[in-house]
Amino acid sequence: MRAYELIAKLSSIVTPKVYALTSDLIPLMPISTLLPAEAGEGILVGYDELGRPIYLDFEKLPNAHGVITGTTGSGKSTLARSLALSVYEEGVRVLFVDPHGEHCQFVEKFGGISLDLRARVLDITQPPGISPSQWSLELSKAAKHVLSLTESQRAILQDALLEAIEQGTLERALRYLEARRHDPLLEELYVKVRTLLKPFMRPCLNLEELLNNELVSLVLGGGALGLTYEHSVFLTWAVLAELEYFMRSKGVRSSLELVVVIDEAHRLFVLGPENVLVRAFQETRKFGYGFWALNQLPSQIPLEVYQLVGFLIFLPGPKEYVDELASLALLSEDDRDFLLFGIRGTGIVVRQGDPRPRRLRLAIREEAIIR
Amino acid sequence: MLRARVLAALLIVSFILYYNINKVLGLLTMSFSLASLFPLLLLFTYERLYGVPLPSRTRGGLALVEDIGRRKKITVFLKVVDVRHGFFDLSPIQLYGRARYLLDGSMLDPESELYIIYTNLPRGVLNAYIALGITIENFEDARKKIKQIILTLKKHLLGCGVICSYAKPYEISVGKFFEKTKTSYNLVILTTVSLVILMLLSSSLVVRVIYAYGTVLLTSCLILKRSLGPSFKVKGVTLTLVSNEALYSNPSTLDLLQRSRWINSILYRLNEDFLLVIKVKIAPPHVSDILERESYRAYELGTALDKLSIVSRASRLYTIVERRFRRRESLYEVNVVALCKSKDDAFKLSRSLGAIGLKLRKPLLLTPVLAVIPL
Repeated sequence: MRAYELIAKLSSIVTPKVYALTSDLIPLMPISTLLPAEAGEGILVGYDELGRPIYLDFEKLPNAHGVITGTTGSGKSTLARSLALSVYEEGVRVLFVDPHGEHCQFVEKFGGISLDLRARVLDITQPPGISPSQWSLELSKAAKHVLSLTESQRAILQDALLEAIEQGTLERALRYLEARRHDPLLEELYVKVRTLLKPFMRPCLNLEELLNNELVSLVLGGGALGLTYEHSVFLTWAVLAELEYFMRSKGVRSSLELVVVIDEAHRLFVLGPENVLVRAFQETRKFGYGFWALNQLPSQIPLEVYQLVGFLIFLPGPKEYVDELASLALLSEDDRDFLLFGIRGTGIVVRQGDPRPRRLRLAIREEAIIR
Repeated sequence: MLRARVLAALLIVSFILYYNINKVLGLLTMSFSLASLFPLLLLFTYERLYGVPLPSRTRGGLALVEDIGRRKKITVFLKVVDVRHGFFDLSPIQLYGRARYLLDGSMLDPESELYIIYTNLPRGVLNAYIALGITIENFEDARKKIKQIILTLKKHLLGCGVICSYAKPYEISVGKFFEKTKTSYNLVILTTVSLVILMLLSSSLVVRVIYAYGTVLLTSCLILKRSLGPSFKVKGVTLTLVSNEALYSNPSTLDLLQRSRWINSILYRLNEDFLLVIKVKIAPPHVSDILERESYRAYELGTALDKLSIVSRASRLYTIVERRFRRRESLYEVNVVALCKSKDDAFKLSRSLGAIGLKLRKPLLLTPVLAVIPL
């Protein structure tokens, strides 16, 4: 190849020598030109500013837990349904914890079961594969947070509930407490617990049977004829705890089998970091299920949750809401503006292992929109 | 470029001499200039007749090996898998700092040649490669040296937030831009006919000289074809860097961020296949001395003659000196080659790079331009 070298060298006299200083070349460096890489697998969330599809890949994410935040009317529930439909089509079971009953129509459209826990009473005296003492401890913790009980009141309630679980009827618990009403502290406990347990006296439903269904919506609150706020929160706690023990009893799973969508998750988040949902985010990764919490205000979500979830989706909102988000996630000025001026159907996704927020036009599926 | 202009001027002068002043002197000058221009015209003719010859480089595992005299140039390749941070999340000053560290720090020795290569895949995927060419004298333990170079470069890039994986030279698909030309025997016939005509020709000396020159060119092309082996036609448009206007301005970090956005935007929006190769080499130390001297000289001349145009030129040159010494920017010799399948993409790319000061043009000769591509 001597001839080539010779002519290349001779011809180089017509090739001008161009010089550049460092700054002139900065716009051509990969760090200046490339966008974050995209995996291209998983469930489609939306399209970024260049029209590239952005996915949630549960095989690659450390866990399937997620949080969707957005002010009222921003489209959290619609987005959750759209994502849920995508995972459902991949063979993952989906359970909606639905305080307002807004997902029932969607669930029924796809042949799922919509169950109104205001009409059918869940049997909370059946321990889900754990000992009665453990279950009574769980229920007493739920009651403690919902009713603002002291630790000593909770301990007494635990004993009462243990007796009820062993006997298979909640009336035993009330009788246990009634027998101790002479103490003013226990009088207060009795009154509060009686009100709380009243709707659960005649149970007709075992949750374990339901959990084997593919698509379920549990309506557990709201409405004039429905449960009170406290009942709804207590019931949600009980359902999630039961679910946790149910999934644990099935052993460790490597793949995602169940997604639990919790609407109005603030009802549990405001109960403090010890609540069942935060515990679920912390401990349930390996049992094959993920929780997707829908919440309006970022400040209501305990900080631990931001550190634990596999993905976060922020929908547009007003300035105060965006300021709160910016302090929690790595949001740039552009990201803040995107949320402030964003319209419905847009959002920002942050995935664990890839902290760079992606600004998206959300890919909302037609079937997820309820008119 | 200057030498080519001088030769062209010499050719014109020789014609004037021949016809008006002294025929012998004119013929001598013409012969000299034609002989000097010969390689360029030969290559130009060769490219038009046969296509562009491409260098033959040895692809050894993860490196490309090329003989440069007694020494060997080893070029190693890394594929950019991801960037942890970039123009999309960094502040202007952070982007400036990181990109500068990336470029200056990648030059492992003063003779290194850094290549940044961009190419696209279907579905809007942009691939980037970073290659580093190092010239070594002793080829013993080459494998060990290649490994060492790759690891050092990879570690440096990781420090800049650029995640790379090992890449083999043939991973970058350039075949789609080249088409092998078929051997034609028409040229053999044409050359033979030319030689016969030349022998029978009885016109003025100048016409015969020029005709003979053409015949020699054709004959040389035939000989060259045998030595060079296969040649290729480029499918699409080839562009090369002809000047850098950005050198004379002092951009702020915000300007650089904005320019990065432009380049990002264009690279992701080109519709058809393209290959963009940026070759960067540290400029020899005397270049910056020449620029500095030229700046002072232009200023002195401009003020002495009271010519604003010269003073203004001095000021432009002085900007380079200032950037070099005050901002401690390194001076590089740069080649940019772009191969675009479509004319539209070539136009867009040339406009975008032009907007950041890098002027691209279609080259007259493709061989020296394509030799820049490390493949």
